[in-house]
Amino acid sequence: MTPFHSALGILILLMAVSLVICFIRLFIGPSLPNRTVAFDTIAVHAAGIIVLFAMLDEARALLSVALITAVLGFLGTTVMARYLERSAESGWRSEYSERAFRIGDD
Amino acid sequence: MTLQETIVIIIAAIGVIFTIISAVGIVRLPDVYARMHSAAKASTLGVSTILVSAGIHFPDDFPLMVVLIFLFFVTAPVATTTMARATYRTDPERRFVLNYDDMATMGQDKPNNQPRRRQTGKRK
Repeated sequence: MTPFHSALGILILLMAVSLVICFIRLFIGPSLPNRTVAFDTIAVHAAGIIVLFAMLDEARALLSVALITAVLGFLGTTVMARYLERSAESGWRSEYSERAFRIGDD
Repeated sequence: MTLQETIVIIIAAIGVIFTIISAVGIVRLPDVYARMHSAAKASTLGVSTILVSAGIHFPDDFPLMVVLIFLFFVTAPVATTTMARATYRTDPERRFVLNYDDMATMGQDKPNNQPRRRQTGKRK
């Protein structure tokens, strides 16, 4: 285990921590747009982690996997945006309105 | 570690740090639009520096990395713009943190297409 591989392992660990932080937003996101933003960032994280793993394992074939992951993440975000725009249900509330609603209830 | 490996680690570390900052911003920022602004940091600068480091580590695959960086720089603004427009159109309240609305007059045939200022609610 060379220092190069140790440093790459630390970087992959930091990316995993960042991915967990994004999953927090995906879990607590109060509406669909928040969760879509979190999903977009998670797809970017996946591409970055795959590229770091390609450097760690000297596997050049994984770079093509990163390319496909990037394209699929973009397609997923766009499809979610189209669904949100076309959907009849538009009853989500922004954070400020929720807060004002809660204060008005009290 | 050779010099090339040191350069690869430093450039990849810059990308990872930007990605972590972006993830923290996604959790901490108060609005959907502000979170989109934070998410764009990870999808442009964060991942492109990681891809540059991979291109230095695999010199034969440097053109593929350039294609990937170009792909990220093309698709990230498109996805963010589509998402922001869908969010804006389905937002029933249209209140913003930044108190300035560029899309307020879209779809209205006004001769001077000046964006108008909106009042935000009281911060409590």
